[in-house]
Amino acid sequence: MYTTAGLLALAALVLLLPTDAHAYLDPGTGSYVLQMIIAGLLGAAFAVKLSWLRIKRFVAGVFSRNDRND
Amino acid sequence: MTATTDGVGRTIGASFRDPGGFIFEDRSRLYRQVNHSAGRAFDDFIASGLYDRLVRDHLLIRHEERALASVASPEPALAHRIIEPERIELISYPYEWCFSQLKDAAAATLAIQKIALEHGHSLRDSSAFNIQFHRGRPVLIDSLSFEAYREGEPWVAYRQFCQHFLAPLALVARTDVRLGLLSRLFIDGVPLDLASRLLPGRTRLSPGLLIHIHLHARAQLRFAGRTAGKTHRVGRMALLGLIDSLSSAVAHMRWEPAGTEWADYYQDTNYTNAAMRSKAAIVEGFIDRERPRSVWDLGANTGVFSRLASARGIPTVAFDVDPAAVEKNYLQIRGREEARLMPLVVDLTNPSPALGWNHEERSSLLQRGPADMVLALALIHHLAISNNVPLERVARFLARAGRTLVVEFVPKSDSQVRRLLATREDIFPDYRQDAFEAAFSRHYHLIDKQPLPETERCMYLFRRREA
Repeated sequence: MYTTAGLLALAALVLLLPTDAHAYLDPGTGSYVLQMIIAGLLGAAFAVKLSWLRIKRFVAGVFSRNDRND
Repeated sequence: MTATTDGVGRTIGASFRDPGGFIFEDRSRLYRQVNHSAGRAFDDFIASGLYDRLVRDHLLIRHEERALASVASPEPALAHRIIEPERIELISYPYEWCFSQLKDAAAATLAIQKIALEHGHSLRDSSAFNIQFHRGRPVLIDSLSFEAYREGEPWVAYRQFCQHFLAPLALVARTDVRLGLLSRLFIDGVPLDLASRLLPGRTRLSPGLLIHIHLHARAQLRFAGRTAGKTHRVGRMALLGLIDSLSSAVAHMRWEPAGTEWADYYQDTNYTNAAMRSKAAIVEGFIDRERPRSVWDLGANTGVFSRLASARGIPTVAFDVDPAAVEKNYLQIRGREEARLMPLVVDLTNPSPALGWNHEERSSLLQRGPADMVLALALIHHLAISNNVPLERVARFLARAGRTLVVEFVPKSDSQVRRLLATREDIFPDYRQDAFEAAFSRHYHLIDKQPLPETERCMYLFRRREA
């Protein structure tokens, strides 16, 4: 579902961030920001998955109809 | 669970954290109060059909509403509604679950969030402590966990889900099963930067673990102490994508129970089949004689003898120190839909303590008892010889755990005990049957005693001396 290029770009983006801050202060902000950063990727991947499932279901439907007609 | 205030009814456990409501006890029944501050959200949650749907899908605990005047709340002025949830037989904690129990609890949490979004709601927390095993399945017990979904908002419980579920699952599956106990150290879940350091480098090749643990940990460190700008939205499709990505990360997690201490125990005993059958018959006889309302089987292994109780409809907990044995037991319970048996990983030489704020958020093992009956089969020699606990202290502990006791005495001449003594000095002159009977008689009345045919072992039924 995830393209390798997308993942690498994402990894680079977050790994380049400096990590000198103190985690115990507030880990909540990072969780919010990460969701915003990955939103596009995850949304797109999920949309592709849904379409793919729809196509599979359609194709399966066509074949099972043909089976009944035979 | 511990009562925290004295009053008309008593507030219970960790529910003090939530301003929207709390759990309390009144005349030994448990209630949940919905405060005015959370009244609207709760009424919307019921009206949206989400409650009915989740209860139908066995994902949420069922409750009945009670008239405010009929129950003595400790905070009546705050009360919007009072509900009485179905009672959970025994509250258990994530650090006592085997791998598949935690995995099923994680999957249930995500399934709930997905259904909640369909009904215009979202989980506002995803604590593993909000999931309990009820009739063999993981269910959410906090009916106040929902809020209206606002389009564009990130999932507020994402961090908690990763810390409470994803990180411990990944650590058990990819690093070491013993790291499941980290949840006992970190009461709000395993910190992601720690999980990221403990996981092998190749977990960065798994998209789910790369994003939700490694990059998540980085993002937390990077943005610690700052406030998030509201510049980017997380749309509905992205949120569904996030849930789907977490679900697939959870589903891909695997741990095979092998190589630990006890999982092959029944293939490696000194019992003949006939001795096993007589042992089962004696235990069944004792259970039928005492008719206990609840049973704790201590050192239960994969639950062969626990099932003698649970098959009679008695709520039974099968404790074992070996996560592999508990895993096998759980998979069997799940496969056969056994509603009366719950397996837990507990080390009796260091049982779950009371944890959290003022020691009141999570109860110790004994605080959650006592059981009506305790089974201690092929256990005493491990406590007395492997762990150097004098027999009198073993008896004292077991008497705190339950009212009646079915216990098997395994003498030094038994091959299993000789194996324990093979690599150490015998400093146990008092480990004899007569000393065993004397030690246990200080805490119990002897009711029955039957030697186990074809072995040197002996089965006992004791009833606790009440002070």
